[in-house]
Amino acid sequence: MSAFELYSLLAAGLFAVGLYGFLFRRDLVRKIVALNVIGASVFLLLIAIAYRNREDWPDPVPHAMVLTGIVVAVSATALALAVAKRIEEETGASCLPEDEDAE
Amino acid sequence: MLERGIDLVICVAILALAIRLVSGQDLFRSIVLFIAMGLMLALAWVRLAAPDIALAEAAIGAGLTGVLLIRAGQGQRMRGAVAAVAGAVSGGGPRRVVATAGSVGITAVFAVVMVFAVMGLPTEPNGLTGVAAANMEASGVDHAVTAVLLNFRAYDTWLEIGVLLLAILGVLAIHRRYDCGGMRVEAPTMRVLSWLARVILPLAILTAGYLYWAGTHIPGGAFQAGAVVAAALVLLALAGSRGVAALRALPLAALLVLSFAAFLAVSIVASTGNGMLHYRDGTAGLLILGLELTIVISTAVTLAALFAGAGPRAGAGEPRRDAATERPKTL
Repeated sequence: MSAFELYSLLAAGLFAVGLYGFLFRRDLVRKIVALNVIGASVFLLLIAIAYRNREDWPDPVPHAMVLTGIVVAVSATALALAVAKRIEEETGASCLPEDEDAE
Repeated sequence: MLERGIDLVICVAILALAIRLVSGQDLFRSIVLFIAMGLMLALAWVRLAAPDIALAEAAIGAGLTGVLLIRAGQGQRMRGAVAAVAGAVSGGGPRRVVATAGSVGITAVFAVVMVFAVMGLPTEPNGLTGVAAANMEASGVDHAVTAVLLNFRAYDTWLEIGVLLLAILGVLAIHRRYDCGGMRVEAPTMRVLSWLARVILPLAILTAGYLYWAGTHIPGGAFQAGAVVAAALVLLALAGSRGVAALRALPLAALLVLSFAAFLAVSIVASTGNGMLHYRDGTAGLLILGLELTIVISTAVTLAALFAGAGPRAGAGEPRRDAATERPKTL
């Protein structure tokens, strides 16, 4: 099994784990963490593909995309956390109103 | 064989950490596991010959995201523990078991589909490595990733700066402020920590300067450098210093917008008629160094301000000082 196959399989598994957290955990901060896990899995797949496409060095285009993605992910996370905090201040619950009766 | 063994250990560790952090009950523990997963990912990036990503992951993906999450989770830790107890009392029984089995089942089906999709990917190279290598001469820098970020695909990087700017604008809007003054970290003053922060700040700036310069020819670059400075600013805030909170609205806005404005200026003034950010012959190297410097400054200030914004709002739960900004009762 090549490194490309191994890490892209990990990406698939990581995506599923993150999706579970995002869909089935109620708490908003947990959903945001799970979304970051999904993001990490996408980055992993891109970098694994860049590694497969290496000649003298790995493909720099996916590398630049992932670098951009990491910065975008942290900005989106910060904004999402601020919104989550605001929701908690307004409703007193750290989850979305429609999730309050669930679980 | 040993090589593949190391990869296998890293992969299993990452997946195990992810499962634990998603399924655990204690939020704080999940966040710590997330940071640990980020550091394991940094090892994976090194294994996949992506040192630039490893630097960014360790500094931003694990470091700053982790700090943001801990800050946001602080207030929730106690309530989380209470809710877990309540959940255990009210949520037991067969209905809960069925719900858990169902959600795990759905995820498992999805995982199988994903594995088939990934296994169906072509295994022979078909990327842009050759194209990038052929154009390195004209790019103005000697490191391929920097060439893609600031020359071949500079437009993407400009928009990335735009996303950073939008995020901090959103956070400021939620706090209804023009600066970070009301978002200060309420931290107990610890002399060791404030001493450490003061020692680390100049070292961080030195490291950032090196990363910034290194980005032109070896792994490193402006975003990693900015993240290092941001980390030092966050440490300063945690130690009770004012950090970015000391900036008034106008200077803060100027620093946040600096990089986006620099890209705009370059695309108007210094580009050829062939397209946005299409540098003139011979000017690419200098323009890239200038743009990267603005990225370091803007990224550092923006990330530090985002950290300040992750905390509770000033005066939340109390009457507002300013009647004009009274918030509505419902969202």
